[in-house]
Amino acid sequence: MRASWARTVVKVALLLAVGILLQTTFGNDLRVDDFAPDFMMLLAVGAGFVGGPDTGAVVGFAAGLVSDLFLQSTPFGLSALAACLAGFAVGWAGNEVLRSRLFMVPLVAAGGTVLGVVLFVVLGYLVGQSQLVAGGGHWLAVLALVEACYAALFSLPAFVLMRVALAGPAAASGPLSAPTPGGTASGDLPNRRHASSRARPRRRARAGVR
Amino acid sequence: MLLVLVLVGVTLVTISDRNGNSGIFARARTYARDVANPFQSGVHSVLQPVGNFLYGALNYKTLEKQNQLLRRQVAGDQGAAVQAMGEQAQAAQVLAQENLPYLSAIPSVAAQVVDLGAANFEQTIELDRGSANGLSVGQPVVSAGGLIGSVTAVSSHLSTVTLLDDPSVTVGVRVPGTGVVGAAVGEGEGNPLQVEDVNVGSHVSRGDDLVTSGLQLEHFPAGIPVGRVLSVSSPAGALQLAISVSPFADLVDLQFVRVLLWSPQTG
Repeated sequence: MRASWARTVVKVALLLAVGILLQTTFGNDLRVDDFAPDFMMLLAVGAGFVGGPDTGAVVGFAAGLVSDLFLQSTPFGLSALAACLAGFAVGWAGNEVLRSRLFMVPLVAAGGTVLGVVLFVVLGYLVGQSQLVAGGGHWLAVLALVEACYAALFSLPAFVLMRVALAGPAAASGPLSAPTPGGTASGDLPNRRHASSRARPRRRARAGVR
Repeated sequence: MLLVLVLVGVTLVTISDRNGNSGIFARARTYARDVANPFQSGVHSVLQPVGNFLYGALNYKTLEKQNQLLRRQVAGDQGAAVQAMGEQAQAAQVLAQENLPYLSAIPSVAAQVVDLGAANFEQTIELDRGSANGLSVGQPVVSAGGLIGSVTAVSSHLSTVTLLDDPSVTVGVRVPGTGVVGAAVGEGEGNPLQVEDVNVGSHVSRGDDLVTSGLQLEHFPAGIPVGRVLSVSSPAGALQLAISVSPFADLVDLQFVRVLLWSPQTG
């Protein structure tokens, strides 16, 4: 059990390391109107979607801390707070609202990333980082839109990688939980056969309510 | 679990906010950059062709405009060169009259811009020189046009410069030949700087040039060209003028810059 946890931690750490390397190199080349994608926030959202609220919060916090190491003008821990809350919120909403459908992945990624951006700006403003809102509402709206588009675009590979990284006990509580080391998949990303078997009782339940 | 993480996060933010650009978090950031630097170089060299292609595709219109602009500039450069020589002589005379120190008197290090900053909320660039070359936090950075910002983070072989248009940057400025001083504040990428603390009735007009004031406790030496006044207005009931300034230096297409090995303490 402990070895399995250690493997999961190492895999998630490696994924976050790859994420920040891509963010600080490749991400700059993808700037549209000077706005770059936020791969670390995407990984936080992915962790929440794949692993549930607690996993989303923990992985989001770690992803944010890694991001904070490469920022200059905002306090250390601000990205961690925002990504932690975004990961938790996506995981929580995944339990209650979202359905286990592949087409939800880009929508969740986009929505979660926008939520992360809003949290970062609001929390930053609350702790005195008024420069975060200096660009104005239109600037923030364009930023959120571009980041949402990029999150949707890169969501599938990011979520699949996160699912692979979280394979094991860390993903046990989520709505789209990762395959266990034994090979039993409890989620449908991308295991669609299992998704259909999960979806059927839900349809019956809805019919019953009517 | 969430509550614990939020409490830890708030604690980190509070401590980091109080420490500013020093303390354990600044050291952690420096260490992280040192560790990541070789990996970043490797990843960058592998993905650069793909990145260049995507950048070209995503910013096609911008590149096309830049191309047209460059063609016009090249055509106009021949005539401008002669004019520039005359203006340089005039500028030297103005500086001499103002008793401003020539920048050449301050030791400096040339550096190449190797990357943009990683974040959307910061106007930063990365230089290929670091503490091993004598750079330290707070040193002013200039380009051919004038002041572009200051060094805000240094690792052994890399440094980060926060540009003038970053909202966290404030520069003390003055109008040469007058006693008018103020504080120029960044307003985000592409937006003119806003000069604060200039009282209504001060002699500032459109087209005036601004240089660093070099007052006591300022982070920049006196006399570095900052920008030209775009507009001056006096809002009804306001005690201070609203002044917009266009930076002299091109903050978008920076390739080579010069870091002044200067600090307020050492001069």
